[in-house]
Amino acid sequence: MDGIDPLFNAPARLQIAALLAKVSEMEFARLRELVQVSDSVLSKHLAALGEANYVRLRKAAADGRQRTWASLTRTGHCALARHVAALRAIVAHLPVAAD
Amino acid sequence: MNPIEARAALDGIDDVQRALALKATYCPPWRHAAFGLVMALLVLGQGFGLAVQGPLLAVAMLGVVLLVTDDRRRYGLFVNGYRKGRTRPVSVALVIAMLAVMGGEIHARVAGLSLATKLGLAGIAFAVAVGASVAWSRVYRRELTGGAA
Repeated sequence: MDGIDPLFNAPARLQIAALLAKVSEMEFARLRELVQVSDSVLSKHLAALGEANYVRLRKAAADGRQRTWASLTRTGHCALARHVAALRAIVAHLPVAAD
Repeated sequence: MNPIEARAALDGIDDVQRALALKATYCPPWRHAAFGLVMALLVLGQGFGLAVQGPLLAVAMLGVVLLVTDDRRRYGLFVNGYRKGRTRPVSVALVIAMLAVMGGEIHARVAGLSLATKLGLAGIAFAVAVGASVAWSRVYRRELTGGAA
């Protein structure tokens, strides 16, 4: 199917990208809370998205601690938009639920 | 991927974006007021010469830095006000309104109008900026809860 990105087949990975698409930058802990995954799972998903150049990660010190901030790249934005459009096209074939 | 799986994926997007709207977009009244104050200082500076304009600009910039730092700490995220999306018209309208009031301040300086006039224009800038900040937050929240599908 055109536009479907295998990288977004993992629901959590798609949700991470969908959240980052709505902000300029989000901190690791906030992302973990919203997606409801463990630290290690989130790290793996972010690493996979980072390898594809969909997500940019940066470390910054705050309150004496190192924090990781994630943002969606332009490539990531485009890939997500294509993926969501493809999902909508697939869903368009679903019958509308009757009242 | 079949339609049921696609539906579930879109619902998953809706769910997390709704969670973001609920947990991380509440903007307290003081935050709107602080933004209005920053904009009012930027506008007011135009009504004076460099000796006053410089310090006012510096205070306004410090205010921006403090607001951004506080947003990041409180919400664990940062959203650029000039982002693409449904909030863009609000941001553009705010910029146009601020430029208009700044033009008024410059006119007040050149024409030697009273301090009350300059403060009045800054007051207008404050009110417009607070209103735009409230509207922006509402539109952003509506965008997040609007759904991907």
